[in-house]
Amino acid sequence: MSAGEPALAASRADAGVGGVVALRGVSKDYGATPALAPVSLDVAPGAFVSLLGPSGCGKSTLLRIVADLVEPSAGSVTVAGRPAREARERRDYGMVFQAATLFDWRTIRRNVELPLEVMGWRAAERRARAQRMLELVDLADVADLRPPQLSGGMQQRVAIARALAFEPALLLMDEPFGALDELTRERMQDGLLAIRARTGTTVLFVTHSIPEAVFLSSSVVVMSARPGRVLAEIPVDLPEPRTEDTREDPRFFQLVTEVRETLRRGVRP
Amino acid sequence: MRQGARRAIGVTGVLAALVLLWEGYRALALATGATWPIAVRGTGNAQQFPHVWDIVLAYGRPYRGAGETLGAFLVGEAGATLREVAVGFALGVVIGFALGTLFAHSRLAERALMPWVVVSQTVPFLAFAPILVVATGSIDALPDWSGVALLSTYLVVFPMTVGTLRGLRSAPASGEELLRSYGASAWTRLWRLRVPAAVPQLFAAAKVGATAAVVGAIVGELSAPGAGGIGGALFDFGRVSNNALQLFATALAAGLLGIAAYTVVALAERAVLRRFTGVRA
Amino acid sequence: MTTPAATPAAVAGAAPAPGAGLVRRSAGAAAPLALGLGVLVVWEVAVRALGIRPILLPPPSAIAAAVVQDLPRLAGATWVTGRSALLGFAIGAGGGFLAGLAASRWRPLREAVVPVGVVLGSLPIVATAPIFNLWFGALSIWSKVAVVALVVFFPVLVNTVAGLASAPASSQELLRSYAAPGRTVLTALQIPSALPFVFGALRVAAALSVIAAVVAEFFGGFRDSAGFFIKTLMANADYTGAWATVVALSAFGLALFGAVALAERVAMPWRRDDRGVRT
Ligand SMILES: Nc1ncnc2c1ncn2[C@@H]1O[C@H](COP(=O)(O)OP(=O)(O)OP(=O)(O)O)[C@@H](O)[C@H]1O
Ligand SMILES: [Mg+2]
Repeated sequence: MSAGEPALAASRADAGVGGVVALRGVSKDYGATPALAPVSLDVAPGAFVSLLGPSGCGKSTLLRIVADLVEPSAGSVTVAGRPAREARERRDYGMVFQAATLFDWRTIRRNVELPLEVMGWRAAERRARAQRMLELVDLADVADLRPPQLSGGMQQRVAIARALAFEPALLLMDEPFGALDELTRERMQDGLLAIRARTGTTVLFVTHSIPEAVFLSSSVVVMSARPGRVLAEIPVDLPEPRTEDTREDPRFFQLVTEVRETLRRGVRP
Repeated sequence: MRQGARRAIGVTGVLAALVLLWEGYRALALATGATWPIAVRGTGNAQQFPHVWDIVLAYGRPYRGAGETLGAFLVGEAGATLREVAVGFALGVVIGFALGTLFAHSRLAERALMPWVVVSQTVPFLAFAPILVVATGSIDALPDWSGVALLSTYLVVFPMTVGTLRGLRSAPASGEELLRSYGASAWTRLWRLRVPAAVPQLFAAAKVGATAAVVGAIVGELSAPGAGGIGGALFDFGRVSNNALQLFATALAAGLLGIAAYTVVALAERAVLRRFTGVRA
Repeated sequence: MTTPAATPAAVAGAAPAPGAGLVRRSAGAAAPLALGLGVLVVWEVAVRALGIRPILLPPPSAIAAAVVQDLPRLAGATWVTGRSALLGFAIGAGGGFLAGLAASRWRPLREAVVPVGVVLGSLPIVATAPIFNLWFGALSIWSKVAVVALVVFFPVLVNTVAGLASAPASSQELLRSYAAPGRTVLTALQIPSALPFVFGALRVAAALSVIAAVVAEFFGGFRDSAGFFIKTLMANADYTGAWATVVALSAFGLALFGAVALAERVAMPWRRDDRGVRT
């Protein structure tokens, strides 16, 4: 038992009430330019929701609003049943940013330990957890190198390990697999699903890859071009658990087509 | 615009704080009758700690009982210093630009020379001031002040060399390849692509160089007996006549001279940028 | 001098890869050493062949002889000047860093400190030397230390403030997402990000401190200081002796610079790592 865990267990229990993430008419303008049209969205506990939409439509902005890194211009946000601000202060979510954002002055291992350090974990526990996370993303052998010595894809995997390290009840992931090759990408997808099966983590996931969204998600939210609004929320009724066979399933291809066509509608007004 | 206004307020605030700091320090010294934090008894008197406004007013007072005001005297000396600064600066810019261009085109030259240019910065070259002034003074063909100007030159060369090298290297490789594909000569590529690309860095270096040139000239003057200029005035007031008010006023003038040199280069930069790129600095 | 980018060592280029080791490094040193040696030979030959007077340029052999012959006295003079430089360096750098930390806490101050600090730092601060002589006495080490500290203070202050603010917004957001307290942001992110800036400033300051100390001595100082030596030797037409004093002082300046560079490598191990173990 580590210092961080009781609080997380509690937040997981609270999350049962009214959705882990609930957005009501949330919009964002940067100065006079609207970046995000009013969006309402609910993410049920244990759900895996993907956001898909043209570049610049406000997906990252939406994720940052959930994370309380950006103030919405209008609307209300609750995370784990609380205002976003409180949820952030209670460390209810872990976030993987679009860029890896590692600290060059820390070794890979100590980068993964960073959130645990901030949250006051004891050194031995930090170390053990970081080791496990690094094994999970296949990077245990580079634990003592520093970020500049790793490739972009490896850096991104470190960022994922770091976000998973404190086993948050909610994961916010902004194109986490964008920098990976196809095979590594599929391996990471399987890994993410395995972690989720074990921990029951809720995931809000941004991606540009339609097959990835369909393969991973319990539902796919398709957004229009800037300023982004929700065009459709498409439930993914593929059988669980998702496996290699899922990628060959005719239903998988049907869903991919459906999502693609919805996306097209948003680009051609 | 809002940021500009906020910065102006901030700068004014800091300047006001500096004046307050000085007056506070003065009050402390007068109250304790000693300097602080190194207490030298008997020096904390009003004569050695003039008010800021008294220093400013001193420019309008006659100096050494003669009819000429201190301000007029200092303007004359500043003119002498500025001549050294201008000549030394110009020479330093030319040498620095030439070295930087050479380094940008010859790896060998860069590898052989650059370490020395860097080492030259760790050498307390200003310690050479008396040597240089006497040496150039022994050459009849050179004017008296040439040693002082050379000292300025030395301080300008390093920032200019580095700025030129960086600036020339900052030109995009794609532009270089484009011009090559037209069969443009190295000379054309230098003046059409690399130098324009280097302009911001050149001016940044020149601004550093301009203030360094003022430092060089002042140090040169104070090591040359009877060289005059602001440095000579500082030396005389500090040592010979021991007149605190005039000393403070001269030190302040030295600071203004540095700001003036910087401003001239900054104005030139603005003019060049507006002329060639339409960008306002 | 506002960014570490403008500092000498940054210009010296990236350190050779550790793997390539000694071979590459000694090959890299060959060209400048050859050039340096060549210059010395040409200098020596030219002075002798053209009969250049020592007042203009003494031959290097004579300077070397003077250094060897006068070593104890030169070492003493260098130390008298050097300790003012060291003390002023420590006070000015420490003060600049602490003031930078303090100024960073309040945004309007932070924004004002950089331009004002750059301007004040580029002014001829050595002009304050006679003022400090007036206050602390020309024959007090503190009048020299004060000039050095003031000269060192501004570049360190400016670069500390700039460095603390240099952490990318994305890294700040990461820590914000952990709800990290301000103190953690400072120690885990801002100070490590500031180190390259601070060390850049310290390298500049190391050179400036020796210069400031000797120039302050030109305005009047100890009779056994390097600054006093240089002026009196020149007055006594012992040009070679004056050159020898500058050489001794340069050795001290180089040593101080080297010490800062070494401290930099120790403090920032991540900056000398080899890149490219990509898989
Ligand atoms: N700090 C900011 N200031 C001004 N405009 C911004 C800012 N951040 C984002 N924007 C604008 O808001 C819009 C949405 O940006 P956002 O990063 O959310 O897009 P995105 O959907 O994540 O795009 P991508 O898929 O390319 O990552 C963009 O048009 C962007 O230019
Ligand atoms: Mg994005």
